[in-house]
Amino acid sequence: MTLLSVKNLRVTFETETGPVQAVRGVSFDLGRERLGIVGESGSGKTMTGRAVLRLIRAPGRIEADAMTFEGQDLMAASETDLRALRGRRIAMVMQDPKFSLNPVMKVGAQLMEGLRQRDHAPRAEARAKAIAALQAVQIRDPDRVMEAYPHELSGGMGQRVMIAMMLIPDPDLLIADEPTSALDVTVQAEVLNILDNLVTTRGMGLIFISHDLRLVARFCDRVLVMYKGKIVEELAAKDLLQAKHPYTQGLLNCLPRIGGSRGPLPALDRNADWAR
Amino acid sequence: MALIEIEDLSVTFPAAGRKVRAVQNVSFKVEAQQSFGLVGESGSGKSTILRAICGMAPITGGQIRIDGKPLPTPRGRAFAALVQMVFQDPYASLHPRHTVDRVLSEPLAIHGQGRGSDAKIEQALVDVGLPPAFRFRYPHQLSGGQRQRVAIARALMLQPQILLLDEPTSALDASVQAETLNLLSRLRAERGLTFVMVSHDLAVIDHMCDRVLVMQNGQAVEELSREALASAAMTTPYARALFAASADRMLEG
Repeated sequence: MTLLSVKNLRVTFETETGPVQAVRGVSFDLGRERLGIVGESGSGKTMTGRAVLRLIRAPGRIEADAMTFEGQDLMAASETDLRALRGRRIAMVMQDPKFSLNPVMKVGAQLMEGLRQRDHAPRAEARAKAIAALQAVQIRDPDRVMEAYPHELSGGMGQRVMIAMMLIPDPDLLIADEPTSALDVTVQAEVLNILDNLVTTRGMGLIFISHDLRLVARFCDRVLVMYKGKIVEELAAKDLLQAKHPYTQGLLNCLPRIGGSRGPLPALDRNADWAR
Repeated sequence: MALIEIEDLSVTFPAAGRKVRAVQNVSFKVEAQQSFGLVGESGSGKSTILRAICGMAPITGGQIRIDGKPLPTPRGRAFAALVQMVFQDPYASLHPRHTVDRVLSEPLAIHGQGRGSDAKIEQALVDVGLPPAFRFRYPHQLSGGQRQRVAIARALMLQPQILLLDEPTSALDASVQAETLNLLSRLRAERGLTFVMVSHDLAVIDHMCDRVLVMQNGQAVEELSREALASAAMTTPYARALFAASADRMLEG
């Protein structure tokens, strides 16, 4: 079943030197699965994720032939309709807990804010739900974390708090923008397990945006490889290491490997032909 | 005699009501022109060791010797001319309101080497693969990889022998990481530099370092040669677990 359908999405920014297209004609369908979007910085992967929620401010412009979420036209939706969708049906986990959590508000208050304001939940109930959400992301002492400020948490804890926050309204689609790139390999594995559980147990759809190809190959079902705002290759995650496109191959080859040669790593050959 | 000798080093931070022992009795030696890696999770104390070498962490035990001599406290100018550090986050480690020119000329001015600094700065930019025209740019006009190149150029301005690299590529894309690692390898070969490099990525450490010390909770777990790492010849459970978590970084794809 298709949860989200995007046809020919374009994101354009007006600049002093003329319009810059950050996303140029991206199309994909998403079911209740794990879809990875990989690419370098500036490839348009984050903008694609944000465009789904129409979270791009003027002078940025979003255009698409069609963008629907469970039959609802996202392009025609009013700001009020979108507010009802954001968070509740489609949630987004941002990259960096340091910049995405409010630094002067306790974690508990931030977790409860949505429940109190949006769902008008009583304080005790909101608190119970917030604690349950922290436990769902395997935070061992949720009571302490509720009373902590973001700077008192490690990167891994902050990231888990953000995931917990996004999961409280039980969304159907989670857009995770580099949710693990600030984390160690061991913590990374834990966070991925949490996300994986949520996809399988809640039947949630997941868009997983990352620059780490090996991680995406291991974790996702399907992968879109983006370069300069376009999808250059789409393939099943298990086939990623046998990618055909020279750009995907280049991204894989420039990674150092344990036991590999110590000679210079192959630099990525950025052929302008791909981008046309 | 090893160039850097760390003996029984302990670092303890005073925290509210308790003491945080960030580094506990760690010892290792780095020979001149070698590249030594420190690997472990966040909070394992690997960055704290680099900061302790630079005098930026409260050392509560043990000794650090460079060239056989204990380091003075505070570290002083001679130390800065010998040892320099490159930080993890190129977005945070360059002053946002200083041009590249100012960033690179400051160490020269402080050390009284300001004469002919124009030529030195242009050469420093060329050495790290940046066009000389970048001299008058601000950090926000550079990409992450370009900023890290500026940070490396800054560290090399005083021609130090030792570079301390704190996760120099973990904020960068895979392709930019490859370019930055290649640059560091080339500079090390050309200038005979000694590296102490911190990373949580075993593949990066394996690519760059001759020996590696695995750390956990402020303690040294196991020291491995590059060969032992590649052939998975570690003996402690933690080093093995870390290796297993990096299984997707092995040679075969």
